[in-house]
Amino acid sequence: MKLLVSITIASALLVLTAPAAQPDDNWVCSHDLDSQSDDATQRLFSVTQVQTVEFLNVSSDGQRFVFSGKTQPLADSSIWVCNLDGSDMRNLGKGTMPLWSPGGQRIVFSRTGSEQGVWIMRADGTNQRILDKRGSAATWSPDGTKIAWFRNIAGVVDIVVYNIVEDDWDLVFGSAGKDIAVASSQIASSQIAWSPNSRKVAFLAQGLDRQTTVCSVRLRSKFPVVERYLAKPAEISGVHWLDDQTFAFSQRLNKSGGFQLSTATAKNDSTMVAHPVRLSVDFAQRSNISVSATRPGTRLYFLSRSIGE
Amino acid sequence: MVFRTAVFQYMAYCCLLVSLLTSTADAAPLTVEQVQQALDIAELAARNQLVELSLKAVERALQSGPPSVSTRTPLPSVQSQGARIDISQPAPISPVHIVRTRIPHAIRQLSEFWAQHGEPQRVYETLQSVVLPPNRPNEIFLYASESDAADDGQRAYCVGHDLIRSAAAVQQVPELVDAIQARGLDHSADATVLLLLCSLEINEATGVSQYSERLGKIMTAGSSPDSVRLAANAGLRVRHQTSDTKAVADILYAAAKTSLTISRYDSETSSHPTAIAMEGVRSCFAAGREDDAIELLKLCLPDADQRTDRDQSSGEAGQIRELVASELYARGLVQTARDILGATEAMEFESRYLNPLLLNPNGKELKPRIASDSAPTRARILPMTDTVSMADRAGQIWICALDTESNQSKILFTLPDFQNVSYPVVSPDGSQLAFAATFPGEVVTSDSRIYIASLSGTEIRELGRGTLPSWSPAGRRLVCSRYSPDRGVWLVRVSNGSFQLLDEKGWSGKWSPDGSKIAYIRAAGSATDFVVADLVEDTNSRIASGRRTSTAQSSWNFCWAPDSSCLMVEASPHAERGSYGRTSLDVSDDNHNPNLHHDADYFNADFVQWPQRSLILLAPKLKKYNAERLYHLEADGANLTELPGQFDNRRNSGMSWMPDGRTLIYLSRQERR
Repeated sequence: MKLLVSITIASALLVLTAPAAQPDDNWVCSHDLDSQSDDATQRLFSVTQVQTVEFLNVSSDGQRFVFSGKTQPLADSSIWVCNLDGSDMRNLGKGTMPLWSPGGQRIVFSRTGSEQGVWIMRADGTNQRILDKRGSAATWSPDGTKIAWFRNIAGVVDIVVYNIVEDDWDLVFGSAGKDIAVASSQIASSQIAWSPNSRKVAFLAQGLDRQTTVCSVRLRSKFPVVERYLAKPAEISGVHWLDDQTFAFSQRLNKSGGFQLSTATAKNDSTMVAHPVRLSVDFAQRSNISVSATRPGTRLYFLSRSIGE
Repeated sequence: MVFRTAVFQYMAYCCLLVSLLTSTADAAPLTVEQVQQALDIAELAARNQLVELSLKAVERALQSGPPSVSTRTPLPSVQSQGARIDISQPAPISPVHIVRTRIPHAIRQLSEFWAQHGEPQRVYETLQSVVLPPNRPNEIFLYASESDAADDGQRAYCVGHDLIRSAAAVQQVPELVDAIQARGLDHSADATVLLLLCSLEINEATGVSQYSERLGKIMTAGSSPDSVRLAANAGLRVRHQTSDTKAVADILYAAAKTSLTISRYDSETSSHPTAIAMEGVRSCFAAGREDDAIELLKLCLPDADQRTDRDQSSGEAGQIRELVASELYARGLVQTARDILGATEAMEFESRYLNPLLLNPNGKELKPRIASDSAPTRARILPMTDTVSMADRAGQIWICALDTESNQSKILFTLPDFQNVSYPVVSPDGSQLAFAATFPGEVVTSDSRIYIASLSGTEIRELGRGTLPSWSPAGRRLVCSRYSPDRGVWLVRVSNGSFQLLDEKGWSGKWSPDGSKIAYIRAAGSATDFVVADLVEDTNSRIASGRRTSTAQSSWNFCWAPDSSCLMVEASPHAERGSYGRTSLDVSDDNHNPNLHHDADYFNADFVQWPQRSLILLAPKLKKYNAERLYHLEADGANLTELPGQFDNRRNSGMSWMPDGRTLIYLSRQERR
């Protein structure tokens, strides 16, 4: 009984000391990787239209944001677009994980519930249509001709690469001859990142060793090899491919801390050492997630929230 | 902080002391309550950085194997299988079940803590005493975590994994192998899994092969679902770390088959077999064991009489059939898919997934019309061989190849049945030729049909009604035009001949070399616009619109620049109606002021650009020239010169370059009499 009481008291203390959610806490921020100055990291604006912003993506010309978030905890996520300063904010309807097409004229996104699947629409919200009712988390290739997403059929996860031009699709893991050294169920269905030349996709996989690995695979090659870049044991989320061998992502280095932005360059020996992005002090004590970049990727755009959100 | 730690330490030691004193000293397992208390202590100790205490608590709790007796409740609902609980049955909510679920979860968490703060040798010894308990010398306990419906158990965890990791940390994996073997459990799947994982850890290829084979043999329908999941997981690890496809297939085939068999006997099992089955299927395909793979795929499909209401309501059966179809179609096993799934379902799959998305820039939803595969045609194709005389085929339509460096032409094949053939275009890989053709008595254009022929001259098939074909960059689709009825620009899938309307008012679509755009002409009053449909961005832009003075009239004939930035078009300036020429239109800019090259005599001519050279190849149709011969001229319209090397005394037209940029494919017909 004493033990039980002690445990209960300790748990209650933990809950009580957790940071409370702040209004006006969804910061949309940018960081210039090339700059050493104090204002390299900037808070561009706060999103007030939704309670929690979940996902942010910047258009490749660096002119517009698209993001998704919830107005209330149990509500469906909705998709919004706005300018880089937060002006011209427009709600495009239900959906989550929205990403721009390279030309900024279309958005690919996901829906859950009765309309579950990968969807596509014009940037003004018209011409919505479903691409795959079993898909989620779609990402557009930089050359615009392909869209990749996760597909889950009866618990078997695969990556679909849909070719818009040829109106044809390919399964990265399920296709003939592709005995890839990653079990499909180990794929962490969070986000797919395309290489700048649109020939590879990167994704996160979690092994039994509990380490999250950044994996990449060359598409349409006769003998595809998965390159696994093993980072230190860490919780990684939201991978984005910056240049040839460099990735940006958020990682949580300890359980009580928030996610921090990191970049990592893969080496030839398939290792990867992550370096935290040196954000200004106002951002260092927050959870910084959902990084994307314009191409070439020297300016990162991300969401920042107080820890505990 | 110091005070709090001391309090916890005191309390924990007290509890441990109590539990140790109240437990029996012999080899019998502890009771459920004692184990729960010990785990509480271990977790509390870990939270307070008391490494040795947490190790001791776990060691004491499990040194005689898992608990099987509760002092509070009898065990009427627990079904034992030897010393382990068979959790393939509906899980009884009993104290025994709860603690057995907790053990792997707790040890997994504790192992993380121990790895960071514990003395490696001590951690290894503790975990060894858990998996290979000293008081149960002929048994092994892996303590698998419960399968999780979300990941179908393939991320199966067991304490054995942490044991091997800790053994590796102190470089005692070979000693661990000896200890496992000393227990004499050759027919135990769990022991074999552990030995296999040890072999993987120390890169011992012989062991991997030997234990994989053994595992494949000893897994039977009697194996517990946990053992099957752990074995499947071991198979995936072998695939991660080795290139031994046979070993992978041995394990995953057996695991998949066992798992599917268990699920047939016991549909309530919590371990979903599909994910394991698919890994088995893929590993068998990878190892060249196609028959085994197909056998597994058949086993995946629920029998019609065994489909449960749950299957139907959740659509699970449909999903599995979809999965089976995906695996077969991805490998081109079309007939097998039709045999297994039945013609109706296979056709449904083909219509849905071989036409996954109908992009239509005009926003009209149009169902594809699926033509039957490779429509039979009465047209014959005759490959040219050395034994055939050209004179014998003089009256037929020839498809010829001209080497523009050696200026030599040769006939590739002839088409004896057609009255008219036009617009031949070579596929991007240079293996096929698409063209439009009509039989005698048919009307050119409105009755024209599109055919695909192999350039070797051995195969020909019909795609359907249409003309002016243009290939997509990968050669899987064509854009073509249809005259009434169904007038417009259409997309057609080469594999099955399904058509999709792009623009009912368009004509003469041409695919851009980068594939992202299709340009076509569209009548706009008395003038002609060029429309560029962007397939990626879902936009339509009109170019040369509102610039009637520039391009009052354009012909069907135009072509893309190699960099997809502009179109070379044949047009007539409004001010000089009747005076035609060729000009370039920038597709990203409507503000054109085309500088027409006045080569009026060659209007309505087939023309193509010469790769890497500022020359245009064309076949003028005016009689004042030697009609339907191939010419080249400068880009500004000067220096019309007959192309050397083409067949003499014949009407030559319809040019298309091979991918090598050197060989020109053209049509050759007998001269009119």
